[in-house]
Amino acid sequence: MLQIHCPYCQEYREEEEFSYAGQAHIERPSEPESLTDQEWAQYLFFRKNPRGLHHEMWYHIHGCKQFFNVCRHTVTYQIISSYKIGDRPELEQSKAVDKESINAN
Amino acid sequence: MSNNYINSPASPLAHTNLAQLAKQHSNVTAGINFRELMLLGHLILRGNANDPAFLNGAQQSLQLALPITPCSSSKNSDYLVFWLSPNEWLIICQQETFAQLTAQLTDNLVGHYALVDVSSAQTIIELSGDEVINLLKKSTSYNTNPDHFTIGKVVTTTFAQTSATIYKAESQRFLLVTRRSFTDYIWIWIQQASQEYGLKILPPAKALE
Amino acid sequence: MQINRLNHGGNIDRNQVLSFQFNGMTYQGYQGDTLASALLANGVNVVGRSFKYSRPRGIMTADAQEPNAIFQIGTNASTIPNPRATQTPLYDNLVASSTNGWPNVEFDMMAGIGKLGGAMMPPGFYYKTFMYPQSMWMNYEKLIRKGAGLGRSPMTADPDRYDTMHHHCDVMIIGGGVAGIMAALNAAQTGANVIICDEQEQLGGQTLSSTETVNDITATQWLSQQIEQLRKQENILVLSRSTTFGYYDHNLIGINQRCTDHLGEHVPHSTRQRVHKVRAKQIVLATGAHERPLVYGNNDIPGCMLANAISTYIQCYAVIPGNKLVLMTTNDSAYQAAIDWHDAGRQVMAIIDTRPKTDSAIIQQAQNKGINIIFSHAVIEVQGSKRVNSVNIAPINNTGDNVIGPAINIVCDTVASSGGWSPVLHLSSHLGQKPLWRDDIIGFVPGQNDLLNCGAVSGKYALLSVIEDGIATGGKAAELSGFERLTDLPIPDIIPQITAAPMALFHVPHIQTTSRAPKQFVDYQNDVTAAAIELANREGFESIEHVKRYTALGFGTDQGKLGNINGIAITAKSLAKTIPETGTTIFRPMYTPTTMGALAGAHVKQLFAPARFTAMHQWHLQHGAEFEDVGQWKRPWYFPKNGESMQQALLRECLATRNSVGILDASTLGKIDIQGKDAREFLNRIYTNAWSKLGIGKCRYGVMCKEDGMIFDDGVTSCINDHHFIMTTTTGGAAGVLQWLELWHQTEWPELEVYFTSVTDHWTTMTISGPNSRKVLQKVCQDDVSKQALPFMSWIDATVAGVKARIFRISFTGELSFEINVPANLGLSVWQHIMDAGAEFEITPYGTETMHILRAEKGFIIVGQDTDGSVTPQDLDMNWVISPNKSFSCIGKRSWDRIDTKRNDRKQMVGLKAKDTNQVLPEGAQIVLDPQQKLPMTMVGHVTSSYFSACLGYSFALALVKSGTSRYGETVYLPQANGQIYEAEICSPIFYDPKGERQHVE
Repeated sequence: MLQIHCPYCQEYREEEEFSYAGQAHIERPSEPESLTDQEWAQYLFFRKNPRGLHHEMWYHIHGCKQFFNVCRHTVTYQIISSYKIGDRPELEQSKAVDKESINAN
Repeated sequence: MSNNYINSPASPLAHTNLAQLAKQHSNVTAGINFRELMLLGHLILRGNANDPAFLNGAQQSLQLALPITPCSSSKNSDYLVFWLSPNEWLIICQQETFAQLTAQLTDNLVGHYALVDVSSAQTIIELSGDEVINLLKKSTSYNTNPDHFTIGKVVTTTFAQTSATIYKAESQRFLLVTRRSFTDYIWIWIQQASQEYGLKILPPAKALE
Repeated sequence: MQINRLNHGGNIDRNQVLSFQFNGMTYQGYQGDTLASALLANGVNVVGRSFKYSRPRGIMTADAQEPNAIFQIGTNASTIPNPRATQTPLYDNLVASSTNGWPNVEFDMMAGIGKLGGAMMPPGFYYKTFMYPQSMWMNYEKLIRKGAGLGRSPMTADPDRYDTMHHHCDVMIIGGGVAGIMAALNAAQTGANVIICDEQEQLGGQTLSSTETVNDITATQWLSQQIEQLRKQENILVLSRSTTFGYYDHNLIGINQRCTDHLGEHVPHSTRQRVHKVRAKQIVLATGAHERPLVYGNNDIPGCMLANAISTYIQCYAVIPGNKLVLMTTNDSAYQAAIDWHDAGRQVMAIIDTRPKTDSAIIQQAQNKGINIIFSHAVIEVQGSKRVNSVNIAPINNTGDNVIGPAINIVCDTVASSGGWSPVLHLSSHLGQKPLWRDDIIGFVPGQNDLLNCGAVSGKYALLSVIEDGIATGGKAAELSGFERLTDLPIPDIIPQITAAPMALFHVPHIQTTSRAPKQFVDYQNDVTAAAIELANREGFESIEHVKRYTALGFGTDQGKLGNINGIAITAKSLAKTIPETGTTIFRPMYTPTTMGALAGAHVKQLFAPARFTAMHQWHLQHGAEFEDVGQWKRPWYFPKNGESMQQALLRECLATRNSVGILDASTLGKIDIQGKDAREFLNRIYTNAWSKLGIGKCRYGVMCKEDGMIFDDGVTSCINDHHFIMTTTTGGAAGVLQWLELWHQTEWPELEVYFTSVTDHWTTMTISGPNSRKVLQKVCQDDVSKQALPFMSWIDATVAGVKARIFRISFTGELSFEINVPANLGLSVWQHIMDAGAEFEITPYGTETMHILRAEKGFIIVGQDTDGSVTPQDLDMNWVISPNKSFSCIGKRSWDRIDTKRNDRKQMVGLKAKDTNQVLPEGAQIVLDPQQKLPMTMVGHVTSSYFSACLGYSFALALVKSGTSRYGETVYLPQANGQIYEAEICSPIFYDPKGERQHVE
C-alpha cells in the first residue's frame, strides 16, 4: 500500500483513495489521420515497462477527482515526486539510477 | 383534474425512521451520537480560483470568501462552504435560502462557471461524542489525529468501502456528506462499527446548527 | 494432577483454576498459563504427530517458533485451525486437539506407514512419487491431505465479529521486550505519538525470565516499573496479544490483535480480533531473537526442548517440564536453563558444552551449584519413543566437525539445546531486503532498509546493551520523525558479566555418517532432516531457494523459524561455502498465520460490498420485487405477482408494456451535468457523432469509443442550452465515463471551458412506456406533452405531480415513452402519484429483465452485454452514429482505419431465430457453421443476448457472428456441452416494429 502525495489536496493520502491511470506524458497526436498504422499503433498500444523510475498518472478518485503525475521507482516503490498535469518531472530516468536499482537486487 | 398534490420530500434515510428511534434514545448516553441534517440545500459551484472576478462574484453572493486553500472551509450564519477540488466547492444552506442563493450567484458570477443543484444527491450525517475519533479510525484510512485533522478542515476520502466528504466541526463533532444511494450502506456500517461504544440517535434536523 | 507445577513463583494466579480439554482428556491449569505451559504442567508429552513420518512430537519452545504444538482450538463455528499452544492463553473450558495424528496422537495409524515409508520418502518425495500418472494427482492430493492434517476450517458461518482500525503515528515500535519498552519511553518523552505492540499476553520478552539485578532490584521488578510507566503515558498506545504480521510499502504495518481469544471461545457483543493498519513516520524493530536448537540424532523425541523455553516455563509459569535434564550448549546464555532447573529442585544430569574448556561468570555460577559440566562434548543422539529416556554424548573436535571418541550414555528425560540466537528479522525482509550475516554473533541481522532496529534483533543480547540500544533508538526515531531529542532517559545500573565466546555449531556430528545416523531434524513441521538436505545438495540443488523448495524446508506454517538457519548452515557445509555465500531465503507476510476473519474485518454479510438504493427502493420491496445486482446497485429484476414464476412475470410485464403502459425505475442510469461554452466541442471530440447542431430542447443518442475504436459506453445527451448539456450513461459505466471525460479534459484539452458534475444521485428517473403512457402522464402533468409539443427525441421542463421535472421523450422499448426526472427527495412521492394515475390503465412496474427483452426485440444493444470491448460501431451496423465530417478527429476515429478494424470477417451483430421456437438459446453459446466438423470446431461467433418474446411468440437472440451482416438467412449451429446441438437462422437484429412506428402513437 503506497502513500501518495496529491499535489492538488497538498497532502499524503492512502493508495486506496486513488486509481492508477497508466503511463504519463503521452501526448495525443494532433492529426491522427496523418499517421501510418504503425505510428498510430505506437501511440495506442506501446508502453514503457522500466526497471527503475517510471512516470505514471494517478487519479484521485475518492478525493478531489484530479489526475496528476507520479515518478515512482518500480523496484523499490519509492515515490520520488508527484506533480500536477502540465508540469515537467523533476527527475528524468537516468542510467545511473537504473544501474543502482539492479545492484540493489 | 386536481392539481393539488401532496408531496413530502424524503431523505435517503426516511425508511429508518430516525425521529422514532431518537425518541426511544432520549435518555441514553453513548460514545457516539448520530444525527441526520436532512433536506438541506446542496449547491456545487465550479469556477476558476485564480480569477479575481469569479472570487469576487462568489464573495458578494455569499458574504463570505470562498475557501481556496486545499481541504479548507468557510462559514457564516447562512452558508457552510467546503473546498472539494481546485475548481469545485460545495455550498450548504437551508432549503429556504437555496433559490435566493442560486439567483444571486447567477447574477454576480461572470465568465466560465457552473452551478449544479445536488440537494437530492446527498445528505449530511453528524457524528459526535467521546468515541467519534475511534469510529472514524475504523471507517477511514485518513489521518484523524487532532494535529492533522484540525477543526474546520474538510476532506473527501474513503469511508468503509465508499467515499464521503468529512468536515471537522469541533474536536469531537464531524459532518459526513454522503451520496444518497450509499447512505443506507453507511448507516448500517456506522451502527455496526459503533456497537462497542454505544450509538445514540438524535432527532434529525433541517438546519446546519 | 499438575505434576510439573512448582509451588511458588511464576506469573500465574493459583487461586484461579481453569479446566480445559486436550484430545478428549480434561486437565487443570491456572489463570496466566498458556495452553502449552498448562500441558507441560500436567506432564503431557505427546502433542502431535509429525507430517511425513508420523513421529510423536512434544512441545519444543515457548514462543512463535513452536513447530509441534499446533492445534485446533475451539469447537464448531468459532474454531481456529493452527494456532500455536505457546501463544494461546488458557481460558476456562478451552477445547483443543492435535491437528494431525489419526485416530489419536498416542496411537497413530499413519505411524506404521510413516516409519516404514520413511526410507522411501526422500526429499523431492512428492515430485518423484506423485507425478505419474498425472490423472491420479487429484486422488493423491486427497490422501496426502487426510494423512497430513493441517487443521480444519469451520463448516458453519463465523459467529464472531472482526474489524480494522487505521492509525497514523510518529513512532511505531514492534516488540514489547525491554528494548522496545525503553525505546517507547524515550521516544514518548519528546512528545511523539508512539504505538508499541507485542505478540505475547505479557510485555517484557526475555527479561520476564531474567535473574539479573537492575538498580539493586530484580530485573523483573525493574521491568514492571517500566511497564507501569509505559501504560501511564498518554501518548503511548500499548497493544498486547498483537502480532505484527507484515511490513508493507511506505512504512505501513499490519497488526492482528487478538482481543477476546484469551477470554473464551466466543465472547458475545465484542470484537474477537482486530487488524490495526499503522502508517508510521518511523518504525523501530525490537522483535528480539529466537533461540536456535542444535541438530542431533532423534532430536524430535518429546523432551527435547530449547534451553530458553525451559527458563521461560520455570520463571513465568512455574512449570518444570521434566525431572532429569541434560543441557547441550554452544554458548553461555543457555546455562541459565540448567541453573533455573537446579534451583527449582530437580536434577541436572550434566551440562554438555561443545566448546573447549572455557570460563565465564555464568559457568562459574553453575559450577558453584555443583552442576557437572562436560566441555568439548556433544549429545549425538537421544533414545526414547514418546519421551526421552537417555542420551549418548561423545567428545568432538574443536571445530565441531567430528566425533573423536567413544560415546557414553546418560539417563535423563529432558534434553535442552542451544545453538545460539537468531534475530527475529522476518519483518525486515518483507519488502525484499536480504538479511546480512554477522560472524561475531553467528546470526543474520536485518539488511539495509528504512526500519530502525534495537536490542536482540540487531545482535545485542546482554541486558545492559539492550537497554542502552533501546533508549538510543527510541530517541533517534523521535528525532527522525521531527521531534526535538531531549536528554535521554538514564541508563540503569547493571553489573556487566564476564562472558565466553560462543561456538559456531549447527549440526552436531555423529559417529556414523549423516545418512546412516538416527534422523537429525532441521525442520520439524515438514520433517526435513539434515540427511535430506545433504541429499538435495548431492542431487544438484545448490541455491538455497531450490533446496527449500525441493526439501520443503521452511514451508510449514512456521515458515521455518526454528530450522532455516540450521538448514542454510548444513547446505553451506556440504557445498564447502560460507553461510553468506550460501545466502538466505527471505521471509514474506504473514509472520505467523492470520485468520481470514481478521483480514476480512467488518466487510462481511450485508457489509460485504456497498449496496446502492434508489429513492423507490422501499416501494419495490413492498411490491415484491426480486432484485438484480447491477454494479453496486440493487435494481428490481422483475415483480412476481401471486406466486408467478419468473417467466410468467416477464410475459405479463412485457405484454402490459407493449399493449398499455409499463413503468421502470431508471434512476441508476449515470447522469453527468456538462456546463461551459465549449461543451459542444467537447461532445464532438468524445462521441462518434456530431453535436454542433443539436438544438436546445433536443436529445441525441451517442456512442463513445476508446481510442482503439471499440465501443465503451452509450447513452442519450440532451441540450439544456448552448452551454449546458445533460449526459446519460449506462448504469455500470457511470463512474468510468466521468473519469474518461475528466481524463481528456484535464490532460489533453484543459483549454476547453467545460465542467462535469455527476448528478446521478440527484435525479430520480422513472420511465413510463407503452401506448397509454401519454394518457397517464397527462393525468399528473398540466404541461403540453403532445406529439407536437414534445416530439420524439426532445425534452421539456414541466411540472409532474406538483414537482418541477424534466421530461425526456426517448425510448428504449420502441414504444411511446417518457423519461420523467425529478429531484430524488421527491422521487418516491412522484412515483406513487404516477402509479395512482396509471391504475385505470393497469400500469405495470417492470424490472431490468423486461427492459432487456423489450430493447432486444428492437435490436438495441446493451454495452457490456452485446459488446465486450472488441466491438466497433461498424461491427454493430451502426454507421449512422458516426459523423465523418467533424473537424476534430474524435476519440476512436483513426482506429477504424486500421487494417484489423476494416476486415470484412469481423464479428458483426445479427439476430438469431432458434429452429425450435420455444428454445431460448443459451447466452454465451458458441456458434459453428458445420456441426459435423471434427473437434476443435471452427467457432464463428457467440450469443450475446437471448430471450423468449411474449409479443412475438417465439424465442430470439442477438449474436456476434463473423461476417454476420452478409449471412442473413443462413443456418448456424450451437453445440452444447451435453452433446445437444441447437439450430438457428441468422436474421436482422430488429425483430419488432422495424419501421419504428410505435413510438409515434397519438
